[in-house]
This record gives sequence, structure tokens and C-alpha cells, in this order.
Amino acid sequence: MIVSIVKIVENKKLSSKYYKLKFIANESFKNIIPGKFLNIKISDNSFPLLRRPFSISDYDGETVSILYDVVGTGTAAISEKKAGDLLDVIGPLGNGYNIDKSKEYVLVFGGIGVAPFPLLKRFLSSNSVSYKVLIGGRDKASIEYFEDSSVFCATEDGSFGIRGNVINLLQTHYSGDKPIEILACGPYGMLKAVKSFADEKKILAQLSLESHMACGVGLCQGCPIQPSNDENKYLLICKDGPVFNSDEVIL
Amino acid sequence: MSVLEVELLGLKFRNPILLASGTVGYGHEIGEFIDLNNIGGIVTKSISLKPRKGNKPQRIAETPSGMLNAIGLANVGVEEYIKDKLPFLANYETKVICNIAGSSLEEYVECVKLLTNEVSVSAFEINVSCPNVKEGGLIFGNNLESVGKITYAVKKVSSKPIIIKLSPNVSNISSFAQAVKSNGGDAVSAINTLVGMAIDYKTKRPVLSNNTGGLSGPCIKPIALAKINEIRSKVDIPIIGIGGISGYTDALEFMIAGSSLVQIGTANFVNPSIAEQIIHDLTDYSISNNLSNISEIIGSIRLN
Repeated sequence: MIVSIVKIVENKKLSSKYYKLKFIANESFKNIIPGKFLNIKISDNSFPLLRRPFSISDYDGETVSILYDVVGTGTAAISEKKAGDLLDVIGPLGNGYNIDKSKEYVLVFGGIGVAPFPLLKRFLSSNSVSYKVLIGGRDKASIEYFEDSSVFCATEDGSFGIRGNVINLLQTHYSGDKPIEILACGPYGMLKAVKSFADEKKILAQLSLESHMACGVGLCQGCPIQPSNDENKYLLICKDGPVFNSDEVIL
Repeated sequence: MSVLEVELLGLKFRNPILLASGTVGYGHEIGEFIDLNNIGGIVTKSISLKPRKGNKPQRIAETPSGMLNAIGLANVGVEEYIKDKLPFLANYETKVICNIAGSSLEEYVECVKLLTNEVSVSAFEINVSCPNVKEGGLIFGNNLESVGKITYAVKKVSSKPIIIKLSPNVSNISSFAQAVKSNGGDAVSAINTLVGMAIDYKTKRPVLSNNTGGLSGPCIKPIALAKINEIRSKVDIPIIGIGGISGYTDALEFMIAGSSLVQIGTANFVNPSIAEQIIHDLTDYSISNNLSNISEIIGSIRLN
């Protein structure tokens, strides 16, 4: 039931870096929580053969968006899609962020990991949850689209916000006096640093992990992640995640 | 008898479409997408005597019209398979073929012994050709004597048909099919994955943590067809065809080459309900071509 053919309404370049693809939502997206993903068929033939996983970026009740960077054959092909084209989508898949309305959150994004931010923002705001947003990127082009008065930014080249990375921002903005929880999405190195930070401060971080995967639904066993409580087995990023608690996994 | 019903190894298959081992879990995973009652059979994920964790990531790499995997036989082990996995499959009419992996002759035998009295298991597929584990796997699959010995040993302790899954990584696959037949094996499935490698030119490292992996998908279809044709022309043994089948015309080609049944593998990853689509299309084909039964096309190849 979660396999659907959807109609693209928009596919455009947002800034010098990222693209946004928007399609008409169906029933399966109702009551969606942030952090889930889609596995999208790129071509009608056998190349590229495998679907590509994308974080769900936004859902406004009518349309669903994904945000992507052109990094390889798959994303290059998807950037060629036009409004009106049909798209073969499996999802929403996986487990998203677990939001407790009584908590205070710090959102930490790096690079294209900022993708789930719009839906998270919508979700947190509509539930009156208090949060702070930290975004890191290589340069201005990586993050300017998401800039607003509530967002703190860091760029590696110093072209926007502070010079440095999102971990530097985190260290500046977390004083340790409040029991906050981190919601993070970004590259492996960033998530590893967020986890170390959370472990050290004895707070929890929810980490959205990514992996190469063939199916996205637990058939191929291609996306293992080491759980912290059992060295004799792996969890699967697609089924058991993609969002994991920082104390649940070893990075 | 319906147009797609096929009898093989004393078993009645609703249709010739089986789901390949390692691509549909233990049934409940794919059961979210298809009704297993509609499928001829399911070959469950390779089971070893003890649970196996499998290889470290990265386990998957995409290649032109195909993919490499090096999962490393991650599985729950025989005990949990019997306790937690088989009861789910017992609810369905689909034929369950239990795929078994081992790192020694004794392990294959022990697994079959433990499973042979399970009523939900209709047959065994013996995996002597996994390219992704250090012990067992291809060491057996590429050795004629080992394949013969394993076939003989598991057949002796099994009350169910024995299918040996053959490696394509050999020069003469028909000699391996002959070894299976001579040692009492009931059928062969062909082909398992081909050993392949993907390299990242920037880091000079293989993409997979295991360095090499098993190549599958549409890119291996021509190799599979040639191997099946070779077996059919030289050895009188039932063949279960597998290798890149993604649509009903592929399934027909495999049957024409000599397969009595076919397995859908990598295509399940791309479209988890593909098996039902193929069955639907095969029915349409059979009716529009006035076949009284699909088995009329098995081995109907007209060689030049």
C-alpha cells in the first residue's frame, strides 16, 4: 500500500546548491511525523537500477517535498524530472523523530542534512514545542535558503554566519544548564561529533542516519548499523531507523 | 489444473514464480507488499546453524544495470528460524523452500536434519555458492568433489527434495549439475551471483567493505541464460532459473532456456510487488497464446 505513483508539481533549483522536488500527496502522508524517508525509483529502465532514499522535507497537507543535492547518476537523473511527470515512490518509510512536547529541542543540521528541517519546523511550531536551530554548511549557498531570524548558521569558509562548523555552534549555544534534547541530521562525521557531544554532556540526541540501501524496506539487509547493547547483531537503518537515539548506536 | 500450475519434485506449484533467497527476508518482510498465497514459492534467506551477524557496511553498491552485495549471510540461525519465522509462513499456501548455508559439510547436514521434519518446509535449496563469506560458500561451490559430497550428505538426511544452488563462477557449470545428479540431488538452481568488485577511483579503495561482492540484476541475465542452456543440453536434471529476471518476458526466456521454475531476486528490491505483476502478465501471455499449461514452453529453445 505504501507504493504509489505520484504527480510532480515542481522540481527546481533553490539556490546555487540544492534542488526541491514537490509532488501531490496521497492518503499515506496524513499524520506523517518528521524524519521519515521515501525510496524513489529514478528511471523506467534498468539504469540507475536501484531506488534512491530521500528524507521527507516537507508536507503541507497538499504536497510533499524532497530536498536534494546532485551528487551522482541518480540525483542527476531526478533533477531532469519535470512538473507533470509521474514518480514511483515507496513511503513514508522508517521511524521518524520522537517529539515530546514537554521537552526543549536543539535542531542540528549539516549540509543537505537540512532536508527534514521544514517539516520539523512545521511540526514543532504547531505543537508549541520550543526549539533552537543550528545549521552548518560548506558555504553561503549551502544554507542561505533556510536562513531566518531564528536560525544560527556556520560556514566552513566563513561566508555566512560564523566561520566553523555546526558543532562549534552547538558548543556556543548549549550552556548545559537546561535539559535539552538534540535532533540531528547530517553527514556521518557530524553525527558522530553530535553523539560525542551528547554522550559527554549526558543528554540525548536523536540522529537521522543515512546509508546506501537497495530496498529501503528490510529485504536486502544492506544498511547495517551497530547497536550499543549487542555486539553480535546489527540493526537496519531503513527499518529500525533512520532516526536512532544517540545512546542506542555506535558510530 | 490452472494454466500456470507447474508440478516439480513431487510438489504442485501454483505458478512457476518463486521469490529468491536473500531478497525477501523470511516472508513477513515481503508480505507487506504482496499476498504470498499468489506466489508459487518462497526461498527463504540463507540459514546457518548459528546466527550470523554478516559483514560490516558498506554492503551494497550499484553497478550498471545491476548491483553488488556483500551481506555475508546475516541470518537468525536455525533455532530462531523454526521458532519465529516458519510459523508465519505456515499461514500461507505458497511453497516454502528453505535455503541453507554452511561453513562445513557437517553444518549443512546438521541444518537439514533439524529442519527436515518441519511440515511448512517443502524443499531445501543448498547454498554452496555464496561469494561473500570466508569459509564455505564458494570454496565448496567451485569444487566439483565438494558439491558432490555435500549433495550426497544432505540428501541422505533429508525427507524433502534437495536443490543445489550453483555458482556461475566456474568454467563448466554442467559438470557441477552432473555432480548434483550423480549424488542424488533432485534439482539445481542457476545462477547464484557472480563475483564482482566496485572501486572508488578517488580513494583507490573497493566500495564494499568485503572488497568483492555478488553481482546481480539485469546485467547478469545473458550469463544466466547461457549457463541454463548449457545445463539443459548436457544434464537431465530439473533447473530452477534465476538471474536478473525483472519482467514476464524474462521469465519466459528462462523457461524457454530450460527452467521449470524461475526465481525473482534483485527486482524485488526495486519493486517489491513485481512477482505478482509477473504472474499476472504470464497468465495473460498463456491465455493469448493458447497454452494449455505454461510448462509447454519449458526447454522449448530452438537453437541455431
